[in-house]
Amino acid sequence: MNERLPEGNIYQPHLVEIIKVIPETWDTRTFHIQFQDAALRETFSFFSGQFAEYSVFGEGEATFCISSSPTRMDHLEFSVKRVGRVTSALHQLNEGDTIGFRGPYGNHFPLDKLKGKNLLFVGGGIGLAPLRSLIQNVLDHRLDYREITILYGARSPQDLCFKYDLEAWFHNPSVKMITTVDVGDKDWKGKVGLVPNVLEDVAPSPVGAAAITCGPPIMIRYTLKSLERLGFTPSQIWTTLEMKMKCGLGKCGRCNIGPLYVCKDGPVFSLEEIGYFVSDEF
Amino acid sequence: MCPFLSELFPRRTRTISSNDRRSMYRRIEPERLKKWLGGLRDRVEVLAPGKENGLWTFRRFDGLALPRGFQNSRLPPKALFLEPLKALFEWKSQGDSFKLNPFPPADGQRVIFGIRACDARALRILQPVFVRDYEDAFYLRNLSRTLLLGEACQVQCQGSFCEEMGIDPQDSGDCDLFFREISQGYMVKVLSERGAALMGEGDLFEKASEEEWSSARRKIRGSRKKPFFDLERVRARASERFSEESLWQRISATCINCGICTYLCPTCHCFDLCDLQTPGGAVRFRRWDSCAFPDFTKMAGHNPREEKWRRYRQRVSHKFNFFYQNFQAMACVGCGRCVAYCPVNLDLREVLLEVAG
Amino acid sequence: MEKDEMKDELLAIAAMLFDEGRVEHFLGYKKGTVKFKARPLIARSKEDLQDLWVEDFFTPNLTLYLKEIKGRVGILVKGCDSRSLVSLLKEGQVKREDLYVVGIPCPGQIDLRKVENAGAGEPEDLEEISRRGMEILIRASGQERTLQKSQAFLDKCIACQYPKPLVFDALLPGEYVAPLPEPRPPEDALRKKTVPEKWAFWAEQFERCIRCYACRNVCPACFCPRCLVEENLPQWVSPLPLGGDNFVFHMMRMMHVAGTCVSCGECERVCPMEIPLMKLNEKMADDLRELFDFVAGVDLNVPLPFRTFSQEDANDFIK
Repeated sequence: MNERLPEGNIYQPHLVEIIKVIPETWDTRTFHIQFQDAALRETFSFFSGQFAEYSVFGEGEATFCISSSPTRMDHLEFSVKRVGRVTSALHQLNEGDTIGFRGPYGNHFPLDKLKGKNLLFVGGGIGLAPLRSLIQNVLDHRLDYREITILYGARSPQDLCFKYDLEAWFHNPSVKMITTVDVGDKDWKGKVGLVPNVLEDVAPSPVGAAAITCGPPIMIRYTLKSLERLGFTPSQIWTTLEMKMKCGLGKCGRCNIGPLYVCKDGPVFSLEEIGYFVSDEF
Repeated sequence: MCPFLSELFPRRTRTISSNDRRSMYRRIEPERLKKWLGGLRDRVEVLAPGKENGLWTFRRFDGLALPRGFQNSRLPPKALFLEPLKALFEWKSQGDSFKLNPFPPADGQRVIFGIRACDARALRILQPVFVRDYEDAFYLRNLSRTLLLGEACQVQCQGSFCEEMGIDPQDSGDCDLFFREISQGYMVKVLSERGAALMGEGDLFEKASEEEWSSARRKIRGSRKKPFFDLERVRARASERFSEESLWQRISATCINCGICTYLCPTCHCFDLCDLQTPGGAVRFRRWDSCAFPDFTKMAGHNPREEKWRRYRQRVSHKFNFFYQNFQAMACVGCGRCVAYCPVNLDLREVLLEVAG
Repeated sequence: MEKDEMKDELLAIAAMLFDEGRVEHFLGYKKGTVKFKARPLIARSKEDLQDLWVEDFFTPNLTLYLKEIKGRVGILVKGCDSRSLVSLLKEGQVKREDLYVVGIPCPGQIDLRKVENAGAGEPEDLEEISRRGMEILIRASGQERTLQKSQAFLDKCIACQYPKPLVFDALLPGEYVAPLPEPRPPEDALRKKTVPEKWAFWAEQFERCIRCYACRNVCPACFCPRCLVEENLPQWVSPLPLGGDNFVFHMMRMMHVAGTCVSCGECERVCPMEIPLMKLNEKMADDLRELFDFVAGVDLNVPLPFRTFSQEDANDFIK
């Protein structure tokens, strides 16, 4: 499953070319990339939930999930919020530029456990990126799953990411799409309210359901509480966590939550696995 | 309670079987040992303890004299396997495109003479970190190109608690040859085929018996009454008391968040990956890092270990709880460097006793 | 016995401070677990004071904790530490009214490395170190040896000009190290060397730096909440332990603490690679004395040279 990197040097990335840049919001961009090596374009595979380390040579490396689905393999996608050195450097890049790609790393969403269930996706801000890979994956095998509900929120209408996807999901009759913002504007017609609160209003049933959530740490914490209040048990809830990462290989010692390394044992965790530490180490 | 790691993680060379017990022990006079080590330099790099800038370190053996008065090196020998600074690959721009060149792992056979049982065990403890799931060729090549010629301790290092950590300072299964100094020279235990081959033919090393080896064990100077702590209890209590903020705050109050305990520790392995721009390109380096540093887990807008007590809790929990859960070994060999060189004398032994309490 | 008297008085003062609710923390010393070492004690209540220790060997400079511990604090200072306090007061890093300062007389601190080098034994063999007048008595492996102060004291103690704390609310009784009449001339052989020779010396020293940042973290004068080396946008100094970047880090740090550094010697004491950082501090202190007639951490009313500007400042360096 895991790519054997060139020369057996586990730290060396593959070269990838940026084939498209999509500005999502004022500080977030999505990049579409393709391997320079044609053979790799054919053989590369990954699972929803996995991430990679992306290099801007001379600036550094940063971790982003692969936000496209393995069911759509003509290119890969990842999304970057501009917050520091490497992300600023990424935002300066255009189509045709080359960066490094090391991956795929980490575990993935357990599709086998989600099949036949009602799926509830709860995302906030850029946290929609890892969920998006899974959502597209699930929609591409729609009949394997039952009801699909997507609840997504951002701080304001300007902060909504993947608007093109939100649009498509809204118009998809087999999906229930709810979008919310913390603060609306005069043109905003959708819901207004924090994601956990809207979740409790929508009150999806936990029967035969699985919930997958991702977003800023504080949103995840409150969403998990809301899910519990709605009757979801820890084994029904999955999340994908983010800790500062460097190697992605379980060696540099940085990303652990207790004995679990987010880069190897995660980033996808069920609440059953991670519950004890969520309140404290994350 | 710590199982012999050589059983869990097969070493890359064959060990001497117990059928060969007769060939397992040797004796050598000091002059001959010096001659042998000096002679090895024709074939391999020979590192032995020597003083540099007033500090004991493992450096090129000059062939002139065997080291005297050596207890342990300031920097642990892990620095020879997991280097403080390691260039991994470089990027060079060529016109419109650019090329990635990996740096090859280090080459050349070498022996480290005088390594202590604690530091040798530490290398075995670290091995699965660099092997599991993805093999770090740099670390593995360093392991496979190095023979460990260990030497028994005669003095208890300040702050050390090796025996509590299951290490015998006068015996080691983690080396290729292990030496015990006696009045007329050294007793040698042969632990691997590579070690046996290194000794070579000829009569520098004389055959010896197991009895001679056993009677070469001596009382360790400066050995003091040891604080007794039950490792399993430490682990269990570290787990139970994870959320007890007041405990960790009290324990870590005087810590100044430097990296000394991490960098001098033979089992610490945290690192950072960092680029350095060069004319026409860049080099990616791996460098030592420490979980004690405030920015270690800092992300954009969020640092899960902002407070010092959380970082200290991570250090203790990782070494005595989480690492054990993942690798069935404690990430500590009780060498005592962290105790002896901590600027504020934060004593890990006291910490473990308090956590277990 | 003198030490008991000192300890009783200290305990009485510290207990009173807690009883009367005048401090939330008291910074003192407790016995080290490594031979002949004292270590910091951060007491948060009267109960914590039972570990207070005032035998010899109280080398740590406790003022460093004022970076971290805010609010009302009781603190024990030797002469050199009190100079750090004066510097911190001048830098506005601490308010005098928040502190209750207990001055402790210091008879001079023993340098264990010097004792070792004088052949008096390795730390493991040392059994007892005691003072007798101007001599230091060492007992190692059953044998006794006498060393003169100059053979056994820390360099900074031999040159101590301010043995009595300059700032205090209470002063403990005891013996002080005898000061010299004027600053000891530097015996540092490095001063006489040429610039290329000095460069070569420091280049070699800084090759060995492992960037543990103990020197920076233990220094009371280094109180920046976020150090320049931690900044990567822009990156002033690479975090990699390359000789050149190590050089820049140390030189930059020296420049930043100039005027606040009082040569307390902690940086050199804690360096695990034994880099002789005090040479830099002493040179800087001498230059400040020469250029600005300034001595750090002595007079609360004298402005800091690098925080003030006057029209009379020399500008002959502008070429």
